[in-house]
Amino acid sequence: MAIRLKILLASLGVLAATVALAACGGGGSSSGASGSTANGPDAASAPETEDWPLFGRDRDNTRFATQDEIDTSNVGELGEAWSTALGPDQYLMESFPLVLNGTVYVTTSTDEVMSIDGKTGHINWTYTPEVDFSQSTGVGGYGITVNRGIAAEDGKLFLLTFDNKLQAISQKTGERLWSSEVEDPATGAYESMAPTAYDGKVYVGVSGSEDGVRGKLAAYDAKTGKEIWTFYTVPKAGTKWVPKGGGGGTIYMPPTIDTETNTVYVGTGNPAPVLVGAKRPGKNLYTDSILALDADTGKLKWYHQEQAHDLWDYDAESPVVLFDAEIDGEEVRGVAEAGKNGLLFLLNAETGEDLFPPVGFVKRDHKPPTTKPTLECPGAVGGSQYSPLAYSPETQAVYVSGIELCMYLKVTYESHNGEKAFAGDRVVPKDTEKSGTFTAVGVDTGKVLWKHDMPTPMDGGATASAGGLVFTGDQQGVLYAFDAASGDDLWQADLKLAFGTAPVIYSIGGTEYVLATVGGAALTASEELGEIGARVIAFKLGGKQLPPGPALK
Amino acid sequence: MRPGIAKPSAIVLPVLLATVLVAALATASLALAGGKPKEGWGADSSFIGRYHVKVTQPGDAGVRGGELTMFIQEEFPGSEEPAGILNLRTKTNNDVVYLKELKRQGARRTAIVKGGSFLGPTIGNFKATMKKPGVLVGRVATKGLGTVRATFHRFSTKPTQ
Repeated sequence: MAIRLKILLASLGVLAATVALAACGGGGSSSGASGSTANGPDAASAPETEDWPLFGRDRDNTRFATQDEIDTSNVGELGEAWSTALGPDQYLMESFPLVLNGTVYVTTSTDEVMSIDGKTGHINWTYTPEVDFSQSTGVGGYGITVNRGIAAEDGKLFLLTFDNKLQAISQKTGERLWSSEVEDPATGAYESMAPTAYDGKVYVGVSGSEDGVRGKLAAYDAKTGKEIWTFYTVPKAGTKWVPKGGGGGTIYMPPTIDTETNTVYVGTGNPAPVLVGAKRPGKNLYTDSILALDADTGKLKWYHQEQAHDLWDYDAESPVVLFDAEIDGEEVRGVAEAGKNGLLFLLNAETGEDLFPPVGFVKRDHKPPTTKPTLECPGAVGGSQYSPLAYSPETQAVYVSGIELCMYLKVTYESHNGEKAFAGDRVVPKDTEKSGTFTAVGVDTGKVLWKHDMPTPMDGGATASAGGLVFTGDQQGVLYAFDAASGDDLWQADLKLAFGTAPVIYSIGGTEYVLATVGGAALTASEELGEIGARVIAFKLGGKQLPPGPALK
Repeated sequence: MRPGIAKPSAIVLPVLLATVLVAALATASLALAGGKPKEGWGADSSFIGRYHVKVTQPGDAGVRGGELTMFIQEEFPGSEEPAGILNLRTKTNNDVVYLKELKRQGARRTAIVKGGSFLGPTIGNFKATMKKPGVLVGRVATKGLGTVRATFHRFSTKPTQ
């Protein structure tokens, strides 16, 4: 006991010494190897296509659809075109679908891939991989499995399964072409992200920071599944700042690729042990950071750490968006990312330096956790989790999904898992407010253009369109269409199942569809925020009208 | 009244009391066996590990097989609790459900079944008989799958290997 007390006091001493760093909130940035010059608008940033071929529709990951049939004047006529359930006992839907040649490709939380007719909702085929789910005994024993989607290139679909298999399957038939292990599941690593495919390579990270997994981003040959390069986001356990059993910096969402500069941008997760900083001195690079890497070699170009020496589980989890803006009369290529620390970062894509001071979008009031519970805002699942931003080149705004959810955090030092645990407790107070925000921020000003206080945490992201609209869904199952410029609440539909994703938009034969994948996020289940399930629902003008949700305040 | 009449009663009373006591003990013993279930599934060595699922009745969705993982869940220190992850495969789906609130009563093993995660809604229940350590025969019933009967044979005593 006395020994434990000594360790505790010693640890607290180091903890106190590191508080100054951590309390600063923001991190820092550094340019590494030479980067390319900033470029102008990328043709791939808003391609005229009827499909939704990439995770964020275009290479810049903007989630901006060029369709404008559905607009601010007629969105009130939007109604259900078809609705398809994804199977018995299927729960949670964090999958962001692709649409290729009018066919929807969506994954389930248990790693099936389904090909669905975009016009009728008919399931063409289902690919059901054999997956070892036993590793979900990790992650603090939560047992949550989710799959956030696939990538596509040259007739192949690329899937990451929970047990760390990268698989290529035929886009046409659903037949498996090859399978490659990207990490040993015994390390505690698991997969939840959609990969990114580009120019013959598939870019893949691993999840599991909470269990001390060592983060990495790796490129694999799209034809064979063989590894081309690997960039580790943190040092090996037991070296430099990483204690034995520690690690972190894992990746939860697909990287974004600037095809002009051949740069891969990706966000990283928390350091581990999560809440105890004493055993991992310093900034803990490159955790909670935006990284810019050379797409061919994996060499680091620059990093921007959003949260140095993180003590709150403030991942830089959501995917990076690229944009072009005119700032002070100069064309600037920029990077946007919203962190779990409740700050939106707008960075120079060439250097990683701040274009503007970070913009807060939820309540922020936190201090280093101690052995006594302290209320921290955002909590460990607040701010913006994996939710992708949308960016509209027409409004020059990004749209941010925010989670208002504070938590009591408490440091503990004993664990039957050794150091492979949180080394702390995270408790959501029963009377705490569980709500959200939806915020438009100008990328050329760094200012909030408009903001809605939402009735539930917003976990799923946003989608914008050339019709002047921005769509998002909440935990009650309400899909909203806002005027992208003014924020006016123009249309709602109550889908009865919670959102864990943002819609996609596509057209078939001149008819524009808005497709929602609903069923809830992991947060929906853990905080009992809404109904969970797994369903895909398409909307079009003149479809069956659904009742609206409750009026926004 | 014969003096001896009282005598038998002096003998009979203890016998009667003894009979009542035995009966009470027997009843109590029976009640114990069939009475209030105990928490957990017993000794860790008897059930922790990974199981093959051999389906004997496929239920409404046509379950073909699967895997059960029983482990000690530890969300944070001091919160250890046995739990299970059950993956049931149909022709087109991996259905993964979660076993919580494990209880036992004699050889009987029960749990509630959660959907989505251990923190998700209760969607059914699990009932089985432990034939011997590492062998369960029983059924899982959920909204989506109906009632699936199966035998569960442990192939590893380590949940993650």
